[in-house]
Amino acid sequence: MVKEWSKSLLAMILVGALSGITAIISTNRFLAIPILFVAFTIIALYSLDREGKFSVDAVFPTKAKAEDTIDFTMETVSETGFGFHLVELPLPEAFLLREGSNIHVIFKGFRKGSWKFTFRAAGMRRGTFLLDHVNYTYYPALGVINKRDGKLKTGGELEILPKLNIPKLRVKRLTSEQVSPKNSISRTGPISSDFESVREYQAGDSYRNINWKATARNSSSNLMVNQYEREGEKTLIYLLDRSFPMSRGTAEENPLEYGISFIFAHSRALMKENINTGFWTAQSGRGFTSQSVMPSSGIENEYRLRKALLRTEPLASRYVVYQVEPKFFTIVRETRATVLFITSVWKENYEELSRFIRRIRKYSGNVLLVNVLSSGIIMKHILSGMESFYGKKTALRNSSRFLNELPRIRRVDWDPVNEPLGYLVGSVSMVTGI
Amino acid sequence: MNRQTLSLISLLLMMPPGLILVGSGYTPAVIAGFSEIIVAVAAGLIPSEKGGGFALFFPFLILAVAMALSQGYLQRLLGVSPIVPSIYENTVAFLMVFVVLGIFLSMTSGTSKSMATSFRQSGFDEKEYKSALSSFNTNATILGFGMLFLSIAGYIAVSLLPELNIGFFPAVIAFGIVYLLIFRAIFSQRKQN
Repeated sequence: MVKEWSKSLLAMILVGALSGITAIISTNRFLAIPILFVAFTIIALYSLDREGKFSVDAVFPTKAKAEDTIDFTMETVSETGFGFHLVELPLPEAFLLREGSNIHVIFKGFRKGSWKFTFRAAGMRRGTFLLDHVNYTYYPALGVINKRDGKLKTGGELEILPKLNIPKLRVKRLTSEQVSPKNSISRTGPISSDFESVREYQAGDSYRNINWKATARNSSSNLMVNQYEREGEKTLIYLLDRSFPMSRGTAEENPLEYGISFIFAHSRALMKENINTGFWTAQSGRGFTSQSVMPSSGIENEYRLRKALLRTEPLASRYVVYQVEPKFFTIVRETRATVLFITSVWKENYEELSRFIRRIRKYSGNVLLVNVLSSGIIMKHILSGMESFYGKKTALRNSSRFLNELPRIRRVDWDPVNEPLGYLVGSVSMVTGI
Repeated sequence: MNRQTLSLISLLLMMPPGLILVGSGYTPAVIAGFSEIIVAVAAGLIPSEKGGGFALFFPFLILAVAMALSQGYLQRLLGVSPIVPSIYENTVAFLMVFVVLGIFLSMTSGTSKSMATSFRQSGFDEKEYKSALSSFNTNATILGFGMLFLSIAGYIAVSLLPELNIGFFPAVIAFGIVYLLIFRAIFSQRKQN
């Protein structure tokens, strides 16, 4: 474009110069008109060919479910310049265009212009995606200035939640295989308004909790404070593996994605049952940030858990080393938490997994391994429609040599292709009693 | 406005001086007129990326040479017979601005064509980029015709108003200086970019 117009500009200047020379030689006054024409045209183009002042506003919802169609709108305003504007709202790889285009071209002529574009796309996997800028390129029509490209800040974050049906809340508790105290006192949940006891004041206690009557009655004249119960009867911690075996399958369908869907569904089902839920990723690794949520209950905790789940990404390295921050073990021990370790047992991780399970068991006697079987997912994509023939039994037989190497631990095997999510939620509840 | 229409308009604008020369019946003028028409048509067919932009310069060059050899200093110095008959000299000189406008529009058409190829290869929506290019063609045409009327008006103003009539040679020298300034400004800006 610039090259074309540079040539044009040069040709126009040549025509003007030739007109001038011809006018002088031939002394014909009418040849002044082409000179004027070229001069006026170049002045006009030169004055129009300025830096393009351009603004874009991208509008889209902040939340959507995976595979749901999302409407995107780009409103653009161009005030100065004379040329082509190319605008693009870059979509992450996990997005699929369903209607229209996220790349547009517009021409800004003499007048200020505004354009509105809409397109539809779907997020194919869960996650938090940053759509905070629009790429633009400005091609000036004359080519006096070079093309300009850059990024314009707009939009924001888009949360794609997993597409799942949340199992209905249970009316009655299931009889558990696990013998555990029904009302073990939680030490981490938010403080409730239910009175528990009176005790001596400790540094850090709120002055609002001072019980003045009890202090007056106390012979040692130490300050006495009211202690209130913490919310949450029990504590459950989800420990999610994100090592290489969790990525077996596709970017949208793999044990990690199914594991995250399970945590979403299970935690939602537990939300109103007064149970503290926490979350850790089992492998932080070098250079990777670990996601964690301290055990708590209520809407705020659900929000924190959702944020952490949406930001959890698989690790690409085949080298598996399980690491969890020391705080995790402290919390597990102090709250006597049930640990749900969501993993996918395969040849790359079974040895390290055995070591890690032994370590966790030192802190909690209540550990349940949720083994997401990946063979069915792979078969689904290799032989579409034939996955039902490749059932759970075959998948377990294939991984039996790894599973047999694990220490004795309660385990729930889940074939996500052939078994619904509700089945796993039910199985986990049966085993843990939560 | 689509590119084909623009190319047709630019070609039609280049025809009048050549047709007048052909219509004169005077052999040197007929040869010059035919040459101008043939070169204009041929230049229009050459793609801009293969030098079509510069080829457009030649119809104007033929007319400029014909005019230079028909009246004025060079014709008197060389003593050759005029190419353009004297009764058509002013008409042809006046119509040469249309050839310049034709060159301008033809170059716009060339740019439009190369942009269309670039947009198609980049995967833009066909309807959308054609609309943008159509807008570009229309704006460039409006600009070209606007400048044509402005230059004719400017010439008439300078010719009719005695206070603006600064004489032919001072005017040409003044424009020469303006040209140099524009040329310098544009190329210094390109250098900065």
